[in-house]
Amino acid sequence: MILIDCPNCGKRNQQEFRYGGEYNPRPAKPMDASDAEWADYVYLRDNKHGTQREWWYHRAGCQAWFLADRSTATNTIHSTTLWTKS
Amino acid sequence: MDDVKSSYRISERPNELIDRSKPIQFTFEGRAYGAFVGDTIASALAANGVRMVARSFKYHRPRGLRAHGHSTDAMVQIGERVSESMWLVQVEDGMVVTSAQTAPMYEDRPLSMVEQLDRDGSIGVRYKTLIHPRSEWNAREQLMREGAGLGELDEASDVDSGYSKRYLHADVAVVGAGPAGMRAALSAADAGATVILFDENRFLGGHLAINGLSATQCPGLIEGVQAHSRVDVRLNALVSGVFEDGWLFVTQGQQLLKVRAGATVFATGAEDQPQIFANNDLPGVMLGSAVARLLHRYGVAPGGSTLIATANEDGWQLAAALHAVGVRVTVADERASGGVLSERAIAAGVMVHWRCVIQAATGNDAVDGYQLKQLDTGTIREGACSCIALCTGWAPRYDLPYLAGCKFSYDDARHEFLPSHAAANCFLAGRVTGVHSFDAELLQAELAGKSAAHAAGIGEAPDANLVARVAAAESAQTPRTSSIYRTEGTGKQFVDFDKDVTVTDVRDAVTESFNSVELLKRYTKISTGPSQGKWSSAATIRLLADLNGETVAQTGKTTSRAPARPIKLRHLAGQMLEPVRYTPVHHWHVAHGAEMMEAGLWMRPRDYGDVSAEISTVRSSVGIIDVSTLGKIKLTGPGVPALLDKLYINSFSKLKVGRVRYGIMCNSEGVIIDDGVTARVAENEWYMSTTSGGAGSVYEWIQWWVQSGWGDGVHVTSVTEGRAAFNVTGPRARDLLSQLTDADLSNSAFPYMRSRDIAISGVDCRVLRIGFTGELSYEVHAPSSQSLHVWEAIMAAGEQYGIKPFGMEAQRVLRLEKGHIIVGHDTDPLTNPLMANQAWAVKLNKDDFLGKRLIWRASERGVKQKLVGFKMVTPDVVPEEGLQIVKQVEPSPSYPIGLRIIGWIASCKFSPTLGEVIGLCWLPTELAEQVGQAFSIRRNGELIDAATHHGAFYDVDGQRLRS
Amino acid sequence: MTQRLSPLHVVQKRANLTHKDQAGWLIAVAENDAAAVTVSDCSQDSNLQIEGTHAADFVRNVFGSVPQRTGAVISKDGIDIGQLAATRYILRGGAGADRDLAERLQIAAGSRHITITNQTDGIGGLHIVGERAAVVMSMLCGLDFAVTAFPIGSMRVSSFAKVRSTIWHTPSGYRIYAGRSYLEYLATVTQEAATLAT
Repeated sequence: MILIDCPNCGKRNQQEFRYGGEYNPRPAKPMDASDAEWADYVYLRDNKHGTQREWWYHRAGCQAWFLADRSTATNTIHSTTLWTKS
Repeated sequence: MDDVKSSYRISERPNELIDRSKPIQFTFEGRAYGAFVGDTIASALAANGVRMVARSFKYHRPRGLRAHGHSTDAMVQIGERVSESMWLVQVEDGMVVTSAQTAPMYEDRPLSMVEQLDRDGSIGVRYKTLIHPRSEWNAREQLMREGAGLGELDEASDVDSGYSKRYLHADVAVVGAGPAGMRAALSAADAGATVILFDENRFLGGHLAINGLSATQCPGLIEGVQAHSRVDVRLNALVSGVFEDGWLFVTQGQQLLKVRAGATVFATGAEDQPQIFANNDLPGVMLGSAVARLLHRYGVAPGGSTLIATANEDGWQLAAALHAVGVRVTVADERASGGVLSERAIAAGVMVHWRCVIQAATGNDAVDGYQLKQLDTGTIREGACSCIALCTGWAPRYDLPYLAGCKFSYDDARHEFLPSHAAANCFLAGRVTGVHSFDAELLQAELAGKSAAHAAGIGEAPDANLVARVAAAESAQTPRTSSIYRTEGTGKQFVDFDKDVTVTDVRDAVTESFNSVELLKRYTKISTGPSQGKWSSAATIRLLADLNGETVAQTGKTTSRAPARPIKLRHLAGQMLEPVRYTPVHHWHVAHGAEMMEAGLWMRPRDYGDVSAEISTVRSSVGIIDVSTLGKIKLTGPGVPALLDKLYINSFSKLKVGRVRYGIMCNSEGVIIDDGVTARVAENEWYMSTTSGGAGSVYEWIQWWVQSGWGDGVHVTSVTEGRAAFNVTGPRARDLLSQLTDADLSNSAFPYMRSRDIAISGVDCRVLRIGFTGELSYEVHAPSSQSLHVWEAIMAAGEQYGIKPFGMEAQRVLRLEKGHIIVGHDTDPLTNPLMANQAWAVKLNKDDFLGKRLIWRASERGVKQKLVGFKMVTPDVVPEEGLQIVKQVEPSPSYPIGLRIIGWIASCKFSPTLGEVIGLCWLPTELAEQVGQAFSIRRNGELIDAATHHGAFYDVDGQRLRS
Repeated sequence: MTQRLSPLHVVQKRANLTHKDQAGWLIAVAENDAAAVTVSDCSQDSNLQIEGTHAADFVRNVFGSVPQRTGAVISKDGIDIGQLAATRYILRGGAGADRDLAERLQIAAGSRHITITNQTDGIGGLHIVGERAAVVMSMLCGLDFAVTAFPIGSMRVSSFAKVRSTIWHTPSGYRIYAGRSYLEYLATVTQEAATLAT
């Protein structure tokens, strides 16, 4: 069981968390998107072999949703951060 | 006491584990034996001269004590306890022990089966020979299973109670408490680290202790780790798994330890590697380390005269020890000469045959002699003995470090897999690295301990001088393992004893093209038994390399997987931790005859004995249901209206204070995920309810949107547990509640779809006027700590109206009579609101909401299936939910019985109010849109008839809930 | 006023414990034995939550100081204030203090967007005391209960017997607060673990 570094609570056992899938920001104006763009957002995921940005939720802890850069190849989590407006 | 003495127990040994002042008795396979407190089953059997302890897994051959630890042959049943190892369990007075490996009988060979298996028992025999004829396979399999043993499980037994789990944390975990492990633990602890030191033995010292070497050879180590405040010594602790981020999986007694360490030192030692020779499975053939353990720790010399086959000084150490206690010892050393130890032993009178290897053991049911082969001349030399001890080489115990990500590669000069790469935060020390000199082992361990502490963030990095000294010591190591792994005698040559696999089997498998190491393992089952190949893997790889004509490095090794040691499923289960949730009035329900049912983690009343009476009381007077399980979410702040407009498909931003609205939530696919009512209780405060099952997921869903950009001016708080909720529903609900409050409950003062914070029976409650049941309803949300009082007050005030509590079953009928859907029951993960007949709620004119894009798409294209009400036409039948709706077509290959599935039943109940069977079902849109459309349901192979119905079945225009 | 009941009220009555009034709560009188670990009910404790972008300033204004890190706790006038995140704080206090405190905080918040939630009614609590308390905790929770890792005067939110719980390490032992509906289950398994640990 890997350790996940919650931006609030620090390192905790993976079982305290819920996986939230790839980071996949919602297009700002859904009705202006093409069908292809929208299908890409709703249905398609990169499923990358390597480091991807993904959502985690600290369900048993502070209940923060945060972003983790995790390697799907090695399970190494390189960084975690709360979402901020870019 | 004379009866516990036998010829195999020798005089007292220093540091022996038995207490000779406490004789006890036990039985093995029905015979009584004596033992001492501290004996294991194995040591006691050896002391009593019991040679055969099991029959082999496949061929039913006699097997004896062979090697310490877990193996098929050593598996015993102790009363109700199954799958115990006779080497690990200590004898208790009166213990009843049977071998798990003797069925159908211990002493006499059941000829028919054994003979057949001996003839046909080659590899793959089950799939190739015994499977034919098919009709007899079941009987044969039954016979084989019984023969294979494994013990008998008593399902009624509570022998498995008392198990638990525990988390442990340390800066450094050290696996193995031999000299290297102890030294590493002290080195790390002295640097300031907290250390847990694990060993699977019940004593400290590892190979030192097994070989009876005096504690002066490791001054201060045993006392040091015992006394050190930062070292937690855990004996009898089996590390069976190592995972990412320093996560170790350990069983100790009845506890499973889940260990998190900053760094790990593997000082796991090495295992004897027996040579393969003819009849090498006869009782009396033992590993040198097992003989040494019995001798030094239990005071047992397990044979009369003993042949030691060796290729290094370790064999001579054992020879000297056995000779010293009066055992007649002969040594066959494949080398031409030895070192100091051999010189001393020969001087003391030990017989030696240089340049000789063992070619065969002789004897029928146990060893009575040996055949040696002189390597230079080829001469065969025979002799008598009752024990053969094998000390021909070692294999580093690499399974655990391998699981941690360390790599090992084969050293052609030393004939062992040696570490080639250490994983991050993993360090190795001692014999697992191939180091066999005591000084080098300790030096390595000092470095490993310091390095581990440093990797865990404690202390300085070890200095370069120490690193250089360790490197020099490691490179000075000489081969310990024989280049010969197999000799060419006549007779069965076993490679894997757990699964009864011979050299011939391996050769056959390779001939059949199972010639890669992973395929070979699966085909032959080598290394899949309780010992996990620790005495067979190395030889198998070398044998396979030879058969394939390639190098060992080319052959490679199989993948190690956890658990590396056998563990009980009961350990994995641990203490039963299955959360269950009770509402604040749970015990009232139970006390009043409720039949409780599981709803997620909650326990809820299914009914109170008479569902029809519960329904009719709601329709005619007043009933009450505990809906405390509903999710409740508080939303505050100026940003809430905009957020709700995005979360719900319908509009909320213009909802006025004091009003309540039903809403539907969809995900981005436009699929309905939840529904419920939300009240605006103040200008900037909203009170949302969710379905019981959706409470957690909806909260997380909202938090996700709030925490990823939609959270400006919004706080979201789960308040599910803070209030119990009771729906008081029926035409007399107002009359009832009026007695408990001063508030004006008249329809004008408190109309339908409003919320009020009022006192009920003196308790501040939030009351919502909503109507899932279709009757005048007040959903009373009372503070949980005072809610039992509120419930009881309502029951008391309702007595004059004949109030009845009702359960989930009645509620399901009541809502169905109104045609209300239950999300997740009537809908599935593909259902959009248009399909669920909830188009009225979709506000496509809103700027944006979750699901809008795809609901809009669906509205453009139309939907193929729709949820629609129906009434049964065929009388007296309630079709089960999930049954298929079918259409008759011409029989064809696609529709062999002439029926095409066009829909299914989502909900169906008998309505006592209407006296009819009603339901919701999925039909093609063109049929669903017709009122009174007839269709057929297939039930138990017969077709029954129903017809569509639009709108509510009861109180069509909703007068009752608004009255 | 209607007396407030712990989620363990019925099981306590069944076990023939006597109850007494304490600040509006009907509290079971705990038996005072000197076992290696005892588990008792503290569901009557006050539990509040403060959330807001400016929650730290608010807490400092009201209580004089504010915990600086997640898990840190400050104490003022019998109230412990722990930080859950920079924008969220959890308050813990004795029985019956919650409703007045919630009102006082609400008034102090004024028109600012600070959300005060009185969770007392929704939460049940267990008090775990004794020399083996940390062992019992480590059987049910993956946190490191070494005093260096989880000192007295700090709090954590974690999974305890598979239930999200707030755990406070106080001078008298550990106080665990979880959703009220779970309390009978939690009391049972904690008691069971206490038995297995001794």
